[in-house]
Amino acid sequence: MESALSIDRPALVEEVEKGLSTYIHVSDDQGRIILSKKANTILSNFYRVLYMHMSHGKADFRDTGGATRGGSRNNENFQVKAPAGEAAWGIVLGTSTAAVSITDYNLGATIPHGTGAGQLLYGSTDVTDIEIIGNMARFYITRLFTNDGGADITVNEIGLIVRVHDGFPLYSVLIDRTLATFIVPAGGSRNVIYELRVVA
Amino acid sequence: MITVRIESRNSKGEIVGLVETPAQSLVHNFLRVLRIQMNQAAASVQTTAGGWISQNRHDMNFTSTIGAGIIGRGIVVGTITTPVSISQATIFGRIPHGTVGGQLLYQAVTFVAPSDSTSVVTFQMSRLFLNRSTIPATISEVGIYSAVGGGTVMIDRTVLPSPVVVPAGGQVTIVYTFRGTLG
Repeated sequence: MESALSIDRPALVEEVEKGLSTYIHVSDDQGRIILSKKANTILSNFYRVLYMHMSHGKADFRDTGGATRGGSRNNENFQVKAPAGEAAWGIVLGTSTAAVSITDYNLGATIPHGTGAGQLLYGSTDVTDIEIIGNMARFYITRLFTNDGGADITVNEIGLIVRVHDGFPLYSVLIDRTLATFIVPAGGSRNVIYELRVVA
Repeated sequence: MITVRIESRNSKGEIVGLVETPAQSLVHNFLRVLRIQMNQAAASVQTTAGGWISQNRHDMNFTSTIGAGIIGRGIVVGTITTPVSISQATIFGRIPHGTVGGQLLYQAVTFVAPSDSTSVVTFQMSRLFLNRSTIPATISEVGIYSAVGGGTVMIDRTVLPSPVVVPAGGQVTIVYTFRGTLG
């Protein structure tokens, strides 16, 4: 997997924005970046989980089913490394073009995992090492999506879903939803890369 | 987006100094701890003492709440204007807790829970510092020290655009606002 990451690693986006910012990159089968944009990030849920940890307080959040939960700090919060075949969390793709809201709790229309029409094979969601470049620190979250169906699939939305505890069990919680249109061709694949960066 | 608001009052409670500035900002340890939680695996973080430790996912990671009198966690203040860089791990000239000249009484860190408006989510953390000495204190840098499972790391350091003076007998309130907006 590391070799694939090194192929897909995007060039530095020459934009300086202090603090935490997030970018999305999509690469094709040859590792060429075909889409690169600033994510809408970060949604309300991200700050709610961060607040739980910083304050040791409880905070409400909404899971991807739309239910309001009351969470608190937990060692599993923010977990993003979904295994292959798991379309409920990690990086997820969808087809909706509905406008993004700060309180979105799921994609508008998640593309299911599978090989049938309108389905994509979800690879594992992986996390790269931290790298420091000048006055910036960053890492990437990546996931490979393969279209084994017979027709192209048009993606319109990209999401980042983490796991959050509510005592028990773990819930899937959307922390970013960004509109971005690209095609996963029949028989082809696309690598979707979230870049989380901090600039001091 | 994170902003820092510093409000200084004299012994009569009158505002004598007010600065609101973008935090300058999160430093490398913020991203390191976030990555540890997302990756659910151990990685290195740099403590406020300057050393490196291996830290795993932990329910204590990012802990920034603390009681009065403790200067090793929460919002901390200092006197040095050295510019911020991504790899910094400590406030350079931290003001001690105390009542003599050059010291401040650190009160407990408090939080305001997250709230959403149309396109913005915010939460706040704040700390009150009292100057019980007979000479003014000057604050030039502020930061956030957060506990992780095995130590303490600095996740933000901000050098103020202009120093804030806390009069003798006065106080200063520092408020960090974490603000998410659609971008």
